[in-house]
Amino acid sequence: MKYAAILISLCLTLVLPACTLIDSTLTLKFEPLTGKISAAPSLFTITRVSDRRADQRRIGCKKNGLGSESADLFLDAPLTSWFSSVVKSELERAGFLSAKPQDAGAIRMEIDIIDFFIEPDVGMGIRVYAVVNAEVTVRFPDGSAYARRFAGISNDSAIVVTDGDYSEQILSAMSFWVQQAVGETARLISNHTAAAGAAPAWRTVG
Amino acid sequence: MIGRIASYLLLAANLAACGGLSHIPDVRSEPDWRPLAAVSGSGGMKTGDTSTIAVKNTVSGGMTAMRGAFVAVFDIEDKSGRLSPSEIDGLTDYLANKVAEGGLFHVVPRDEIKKRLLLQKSKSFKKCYDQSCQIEIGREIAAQKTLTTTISRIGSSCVVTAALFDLRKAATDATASSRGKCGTDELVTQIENIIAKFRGRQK
Repeated sequence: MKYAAILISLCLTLVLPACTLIDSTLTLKFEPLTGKISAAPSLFTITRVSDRRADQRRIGCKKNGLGSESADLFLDAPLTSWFSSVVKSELERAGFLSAKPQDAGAIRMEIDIIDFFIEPDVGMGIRVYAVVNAEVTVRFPDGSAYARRFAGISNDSAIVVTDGDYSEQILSAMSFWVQQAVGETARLISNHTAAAGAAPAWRTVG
Repeated sequence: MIGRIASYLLLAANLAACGGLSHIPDVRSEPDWRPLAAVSGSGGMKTGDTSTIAVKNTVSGGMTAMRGAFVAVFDIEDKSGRLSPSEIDGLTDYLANKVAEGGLFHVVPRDEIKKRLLLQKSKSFKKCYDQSCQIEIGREIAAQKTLTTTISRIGSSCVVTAALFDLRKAATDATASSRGKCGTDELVTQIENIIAKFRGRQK
């Protein structure tokens, strides 16, 4: 019995979470999400994506059986370029047209990434959490500008956590973020365009 | 016997591992768009509400629209000559934390400012206290505002002054000052007073 208990303890401490001792580099493949939203295509350009995270070195952590951080998770590409490409492709799928930065008539977008992190919560079971929190600034050619912060949080439980689980959670959080950010940006642009080019009020006839 | 107890304790520790999250903040999406360079009471443009567009580009002295802006907090300049470098560093860290508290502003990580300064002045690292240097660095790190803080000795008291500079408007948004004794504890209180003044304007 004593040996069984030692063996089980060692398994829980070392063997089962053995992969938690090794850093992992994730390749995130974002599945296209957005359908066509914009009826009147507008030109847009993403002029800046800034990484505002306090810890820009990693995108997540692994934990051992005791709940302490034991290894890091990295992204295989610079986060800003990955984020920019996801937003650009989703805006294009929503019906917007990508323009060059020098195009004066284009709507300019800036993104500030505040949080982008994966963290497991180790207790009686393991639950993997991921957060994407970023601010979008939309600048219109007429000089007006609007900013709004969007957050996407995702979590799921697992018995043994693999790199695939980490990827799945951060992609899920990113999906929530994209759904909100692209949808609301499209509505903002649509409302702004409608107000700017609004026809005079309706006349009653007859 | 001891081995058995140890193994049971290890097993119990594993089963009751300390849970908790330390990197996942409790964040929510903002409900509306915030007009930038525009302040009009309730602020945001509601989705589906085009009437609020009319308020754009109006300017007033409130701080509602500043909330959530990215601020580069530069090292506190000690004109009194009483503080050690580690005390200045500690006070600057405290100031940056207070500025970020409650989502008043987003603070650009100080490491990012230091990295830029080191890149710019790789051979002769000198403090970036003058406004032109801070504006240049602030723009390079894509901050929206800079916070300049100075501690000066006047008579037997010390005055802490802080100025929030808007990089886009190239104008000072707000200033605040606080006077008190020159001890480190008193300076901490004065920094708290200054943040309270900024927050007071925001309400």
